[in-house]
Parts: sequence; structure tokens; C-alpha cells
Amino acid sequence: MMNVFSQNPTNQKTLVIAVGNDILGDDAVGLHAARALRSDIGACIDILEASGTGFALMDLMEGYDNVLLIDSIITENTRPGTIHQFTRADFQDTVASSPHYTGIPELFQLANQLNIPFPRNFLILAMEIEKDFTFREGLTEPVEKSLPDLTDKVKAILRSWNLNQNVPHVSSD
Amino acid sequence: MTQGTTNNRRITIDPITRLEGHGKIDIFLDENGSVEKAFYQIPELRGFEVFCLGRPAEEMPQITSRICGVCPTAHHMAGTKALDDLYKVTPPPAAKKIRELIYNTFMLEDHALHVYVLGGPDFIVGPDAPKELRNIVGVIQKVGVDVGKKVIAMRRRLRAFITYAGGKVIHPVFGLPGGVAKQISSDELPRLRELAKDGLEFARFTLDVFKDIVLKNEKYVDLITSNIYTHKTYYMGLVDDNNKVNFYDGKMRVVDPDGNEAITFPARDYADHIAEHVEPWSYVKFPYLKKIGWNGFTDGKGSGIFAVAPLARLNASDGIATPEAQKAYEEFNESLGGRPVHHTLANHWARVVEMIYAAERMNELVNDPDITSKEIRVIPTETPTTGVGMVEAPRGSLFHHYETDERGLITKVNLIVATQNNAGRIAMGIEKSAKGLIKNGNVSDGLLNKIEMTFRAYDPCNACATHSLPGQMPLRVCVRDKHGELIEEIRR
Repeated sequence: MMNVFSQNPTNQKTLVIAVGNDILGDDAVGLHAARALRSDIGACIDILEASGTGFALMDLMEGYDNVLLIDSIITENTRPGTIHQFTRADFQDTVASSPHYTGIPELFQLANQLNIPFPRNFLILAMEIEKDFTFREGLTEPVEKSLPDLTDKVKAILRSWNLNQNVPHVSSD
Repeated sequence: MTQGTTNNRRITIDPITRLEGHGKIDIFLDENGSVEKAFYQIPELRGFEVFCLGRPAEEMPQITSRICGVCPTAHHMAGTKALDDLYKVTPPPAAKKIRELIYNTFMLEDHALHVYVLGGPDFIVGPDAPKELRNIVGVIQKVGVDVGKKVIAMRRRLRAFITYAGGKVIHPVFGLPGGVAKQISSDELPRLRELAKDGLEFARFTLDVFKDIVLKNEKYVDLITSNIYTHKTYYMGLVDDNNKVNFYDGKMRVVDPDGNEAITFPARDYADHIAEHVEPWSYVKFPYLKKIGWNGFTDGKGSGIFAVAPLARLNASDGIATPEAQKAYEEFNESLGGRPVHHTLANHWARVVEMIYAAERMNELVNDPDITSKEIRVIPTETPTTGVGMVEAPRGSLFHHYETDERGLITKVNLIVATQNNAGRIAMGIEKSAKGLIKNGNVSDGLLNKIEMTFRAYDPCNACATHSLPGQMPLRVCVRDKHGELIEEIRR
């Protein structure tokens, strides 16, 4: 079967950014997903692993038409392994509380102010993890089990981006 | 805004999910709506020593740089210097200069980020400005698009050099015991000299921006020098043989609240001078000066609490070794009543002074004949036992202490990070500003921001190892009565 990711009919630049810390257990789930995806995704989609967030993402996203960000999240409202999906709009009305923090809305506003080419399509997939700040390598069982679901979701989104000009709007899980 | 009630109340400023550098502030009000007590809390990061045990010491600069996505270069450098000490090896001059060049580039870039993006918006846009403008977007509205482009472009070029010289910008790999992994090519020098020259121009420009927008505004100057943002503590910073500021190497110097030298010590002796106090409400162990002792969260000569970070570095030194930074240092001290300067918010100005120094030092180093030498490493031959490394991170003094068995496998790790060194003074500062700003239970967004300004001035890095979904998360303010019942919740 032909790999849909080896073709780029829309000629758009697409990037997957995985954010996480690979020595902080489940925090690294995005990085694990990125590594699993590498073998499945053709040359027309870039995959980056990043440990910085906020402003550091500015440089990474510049020049791409589509960016999908994969990360972990602690909402404490869903079971570990649950996958949440967000758009830019989900963060529009919130406030950065951290001194080391520049949020997604500011990055997009800044790019707009400075005429920096920035993604037209942007989505975030984040997997719920346990609230645990312990240094270790490897994932916990529920997160490990849900990893294929995460990579499947990533592929589904990429497939739609690769084949269509528009991003499908999917609500949060 | 929330109005006060007559109950004992607890106000919590708490992000609901993990954020880089996330902290939490609990403010307890008394029956009159005045602040009784304020606590600054951060999550505990567990298991780091266990994680490191049995690993080869050579991995420590890489492992420790993963603690933090914000200042990996500082951890990498402290770890590398600890390895020098562990293997009793002195790097050749070129290696030391390459390290210092990379380090000063990092300091300039990191400080610029704070000035324009993280803490600076409090002043450049204004502490009472609408929250949606207290960020880089508001800064650019104020200073203009061209300035914004300049900031973004300079930061990118500085990071590009760190990537070139350091291997990876996020987790550098250049530091080795006894030297560095990569020499600087002479082909690269013209580009580097251009970068250093432009970096200095950028630092000068930033000082002008700061003077124009902040120092010419009487209201801002009053805020900086106001009593609620003032604490008279000890100050710590790395200095060279002439007691001048140095980010990379030297002896640690501590001055008392009158500015007199109290203690100096080499890295190896850090544990003789710094002890840690434990409080039941915090995971943070509060460092204090052993010689003075722990006397609670109080100011003055009798309290062992000390500060690190830019203001502390300027206070702990007798000057700066480069000419323009020295001039800026003198102006800083003269304008603020002489050294030591006790105003926490003066950290922002001190940070800009340090940008000038970092850029000037870059210029010195890129024009040093040693910088392209091929002699970049001395191979260690000694059996490892104990190693301690210290550097000045952007946020202040950073200590790495490793012990190993005879094969070089880690048996003990102790790190004291900059924000931890500042923890006592930050806790005092938050309580004092909360007491000064919250009256009769009135808590507005602007007031909370001013309390947060206390810790933003230190550029703190609290939960270095964590990452977050990089969208903006709401702050949650919980108001609780004396029984702990939630009586009001505000999101902003």
C-alpha cells in the first residue's frame, strides 16, 4: 500500500513537534510518540523533539503551513492515557502565569505583528498523565498502552492536512 | 476583582496544570481582610539523585542539562566544571575561553529574553497594563515593530552560535572533563566577530530602551525603590581575582547588607558556608549562610538569608572588568543610592547592565588569539573521587557536587540551583508585597500582578524539569474561609 505521507499533493510544509523531558517519566510521552512515528511518516513531514516550550517554539514553527504539537498534560479531570485535542482558540482567553512563559496566542500574535510566516493550521494533541514529578525513564502502563492511539490520531490529522487544504475541526476528547 | 469578606481567607494563585517555572502563592487573610501570611510554594521534583546513581560521571553535564528547558547551558557548564574538579584536571586556556564565550553568549540571549519577553513587560508595558498586553506583544506595541524584529533576529543569531559551538542548543554537549569537544574554526571568526559586535550594539540599545521607558518614568522609579520591594540581605556572586563580576569562573563572594565582604570561598568549600533550612509548608530547602545562622524570614545582618541573581552579583562585586559595563554599573549604583542596592525590582536594571558585560566579554574573547587554538583538551588521568563546580546562571549562583567510586560511577549528587538560593528572599518579598498591596480584602488583577512581579524580578526557574502544554493556562484564585471551605473562585 502506498504511504500517504510520502506524497505531498498540496505542497505544504508540515511539522510535528514533540515536547517533553525524556528523563521525567510520562512527561516524555510526546517524544515516545515522535520516535514511533518516524518510521511511518514520509519525507514530506518533519518531526522535531523539543524540550523547550514557550518562546523556543517560535523558531521551530516559522515557515511551516501546518504544525501539530504533541505533549503531555495534567488536568486531573480525565484518566491517564486520555488524549485531549486543542486548537489555538482553546488558549485565547487565558493568561500566562509563569515568568518563563510565552503562550501560543502570543506567539501567533507576535508572528503576525512581525510578518513572520507562521502556520495556518495548528493543533495540539496532549495525553493526560499522572501528577508525578519523579525522575525516571520510561512510561507508566496506562500511558504506554495509549501510545498507539496517540500516534494513530497524529497520523489521522496529518493525513487530512496532507490531502486537504483545510484542517478538520475536531473537538476535545 | 474580588471583594473582601470578614472571614479568615486563603487566596491561592495557582496554575491548574504544569507550566514551565510554575509556582503557587498562598495568601492567608485575617478577619479584617489584611494579609496575615503569604507562602510561595513549588512542586517537589523527586528522585534526581536516585536517577543519577551508578551512572558514569561523564554523563552528568548532559543529564543535568535536562533538568531544565530554560537554562540547560548553565547546568551543562556547572556539571562540566564539576567534572574538571572530579578528575583533577585543568582545561587548557583555549578550552576555558571557548566555554566562557559560549557561556556569555548564553547569558546575553537569556537575559534579553527576560528583558523583552518574561519580566520586562511589567515595566516596558507597565505593571497596571491590561493582562493581554503584559507580554512581548505589548512590548512591541510600545517599542515598535522594528525593535521587535531586532530582538527576534538577535536572539536567533545568538542561539545559532550556541548551537554551532555547543552541539545542540537545548541540551549542549560541548563540555568534557579537561576541555571542550570542539574547537572554533578560524573560518568562523569573521561571523563570530560580527555577532559579538552586533550583540554589544544590541545590549547598548537595550540599556537605552530601559532608560527611556523605565528610568524616565517617575512612577516606575518610585515603584522600584518603594519599601514593599526592598529587603536588606546578604548578597552572593562569583567574582574574579579583582573582585569583578564573572559568570564563568572565580571565587564566590558574599557581602553583608552594608556591602562589606563577609565570606569568600572556592567551589570545593561551598558546603562549609551554605546550609539549608526546612519549613513544613515548602518542599524547598531554604539555603542560608552557616556563619550567620537561620533566624527566620527576616532582613538584616543577623539573618543568614542571602540573595543571588543580577542584583546580588552587582552588589557582591567591586565592579565589572569591561569598560562600558563598568560605566553602567557605576550609573546603576549612583542612581539607586550606592552599593549595595536593596531594591528587588532593580534586578531588571542589573540584568541589562549584565547584558553589556556579556556582550563586551564576547568581543574580548572572539578577538583573543587563543580562541581558535587546537589545544582544547587535557585528558584526565587521575582517579575520580569528589568534584564541585559552580557558575553564575542567569538566575544566580549554581552549584553541582558529584561523588563517584574509583570507576567514576556516581555515588552522590547534590545540586543547589539559583532559584533555591533565592528562596528565602523571594518568600520574604512575596509576603511583604502582599501585605503592602492587599488591604481590606481587596484583590485586583493589577495587585496580584504586582505581587507576582516580586518573584518575576528574580527570573525564577522553579520546576526546572517539567514541561507543559505550551498554551496559556488560567490562573486560579481560591478564596477559602478559616475552615478551608471554598467561598469564592476567580479565574483570570
